[in-house]
Amino acid sequence: MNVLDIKDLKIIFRTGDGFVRAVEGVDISIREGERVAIVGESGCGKSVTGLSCMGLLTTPPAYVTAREFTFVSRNGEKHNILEKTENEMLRLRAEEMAMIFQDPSTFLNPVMTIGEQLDEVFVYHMGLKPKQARERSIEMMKKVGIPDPEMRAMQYPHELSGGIKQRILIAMATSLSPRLLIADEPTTALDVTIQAQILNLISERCEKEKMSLLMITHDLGVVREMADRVYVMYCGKIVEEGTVDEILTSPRHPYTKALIDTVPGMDEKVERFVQIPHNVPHPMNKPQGCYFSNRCAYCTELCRTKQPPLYDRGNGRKSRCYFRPEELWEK
Amino acid sequence: MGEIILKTNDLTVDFKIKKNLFGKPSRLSAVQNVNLEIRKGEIYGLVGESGCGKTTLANAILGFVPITSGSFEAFGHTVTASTKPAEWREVRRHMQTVFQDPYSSLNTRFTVWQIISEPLYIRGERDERVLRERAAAMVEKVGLSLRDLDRYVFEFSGGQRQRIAIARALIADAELIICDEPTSALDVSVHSQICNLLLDLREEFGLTYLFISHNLSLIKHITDHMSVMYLGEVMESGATDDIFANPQTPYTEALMSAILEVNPSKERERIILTGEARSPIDPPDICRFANRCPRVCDMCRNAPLPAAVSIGGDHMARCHLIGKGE
Repeated sequence: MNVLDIKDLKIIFRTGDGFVRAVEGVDISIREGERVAIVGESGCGKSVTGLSCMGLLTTPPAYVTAREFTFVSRNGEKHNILEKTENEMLRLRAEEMAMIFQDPSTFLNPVMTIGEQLDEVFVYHMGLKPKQARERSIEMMKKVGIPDPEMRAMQYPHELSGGIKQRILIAMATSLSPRLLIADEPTTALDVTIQAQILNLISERCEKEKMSLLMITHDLGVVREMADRVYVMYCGKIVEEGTVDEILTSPRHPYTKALIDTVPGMDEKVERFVQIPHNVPHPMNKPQGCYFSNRCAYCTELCRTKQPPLYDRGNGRKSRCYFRPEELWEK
Repeated sequence: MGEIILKTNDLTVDFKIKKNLFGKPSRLSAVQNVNLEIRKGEIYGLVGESGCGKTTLANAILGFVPITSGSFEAFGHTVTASTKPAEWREVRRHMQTVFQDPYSSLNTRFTVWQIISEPLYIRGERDERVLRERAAAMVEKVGLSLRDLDRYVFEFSGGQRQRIAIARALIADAELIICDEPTSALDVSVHSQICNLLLDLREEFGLTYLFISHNLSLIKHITDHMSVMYLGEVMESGATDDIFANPQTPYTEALMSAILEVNPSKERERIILTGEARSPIDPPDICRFANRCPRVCDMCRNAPLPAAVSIGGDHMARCHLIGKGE
């Protein structure tokens, strides 16, 4: 059963210079207990997709439309996220879905202690008394591996390191065992050895609480580590979809292939790095045909003039490219 | 490999931290007795996590922070804590730097040619025509166009800004370029562009790079020699290939195992370190990694970190466990 079903999601921002189409018709579905990743570079629309699932985009400037935007809660009830009022969303968030962000320090309140911020979840959503809430908070902090939780609960965010803060956010997000956890670049701001710890913790929590995971990242290494299925996004559109193993071993879209090739393997030493020419187009100024056409090594006249649809390539794999890989990689 | 152009001798940088007005200041040990040798024409990697002192070391070499003790030799000068500013400037003529974040390291009120030619202006060149011409020559070398000369920084993407920063670093004929995480603020698809550009420019101008990064896979491919730093101390140093083939200290092993491999057919054994780095303020005189080390023993917690031992060639490592078996 699907936890989340999004069909034809469009997100438009009104800016001083006009309308920016950040997301242009994205279909995403997440099954129960599945770990899904969205991978792409900055500006591809992956973060706003995550925020829209949580109902965190304010209108204006953001305008969100979709043919279907269904979240199924634990009791089987179907919710249309786009039609929820803010009050209804407040209930859904934390209890049914939760999100963790890239930079933990901006999401913690600097004038409240860690304990108070964790307690809030239990007081607000479960109606616990402050003392019981604190007990639950301490218990949660133990679950996410924070040493000496009683002492940490009395501290303020500025007294903690980035890794500990991210653990606190994970504790907060998973304390009511939501059905869906959205993680938006949770380790980008952290050190490599801490990244390994945090990724481990997220998988462990997901497994224990039977949560589905939507991992938003730019790092293919994280995708490989954390996800079963992946959507590759470029300029607001999904360009490829499939299981992680298949996509990483046999990409079908030139962009995915280029992304994989730019990360050299650890076994052999390379003299030069494979590079993708040019830059990601400005969102107000996307190419007329395929959005990747100006950087694609296999670009044809057709690509330059007409936007390719998302072709179904069988086995749950989709690719937004006119050509089949065997036609492409031979060229 | 060419002659040594930069050599540090027990270079140490401490910061004094006063907790209150009257208390005795604490010592924050940022860089502790670092010895490294950079040869002409090579790329020397400095790798470690945030707070390990790699940027402070670079800043000390560039003179942005004062040296506490020790010295370094570069370009025929020996620089110590008491070196006069005039001599400092002489040394610094040969060095330039490319910073991590091209969004904050470029002056937004300057046009591109002003930014690029500023080092020449500081050296006393005041003729605008000359400055512009030199900037124009540089701009093409880093893959921007002449039309970009009169534009402002905000019109450029991150990758292009980093190209501007590189042009500025190269214009005054520096020999040693210190690259402090030059790609970590950039998008994945632009990473390789900047790395390839740095490699091309090295060929063309015969440059030497001190390349600071926390990205081990980048360090592996790009550098000839490297040092692994942890909390101000160099744990392991030597030829990059040797270190990757045969890491000697538990910290280097853990760092390497934390690299996320993209290829799904490769299974890697992951060493997940527990805990976090200890505070660099008044560190005890033992191995600074002891509280996280998966192979810690009694000696690590009690005796000072041993001096560097040669593993073979110039591969040096500091650990109690070396030579003691597993």
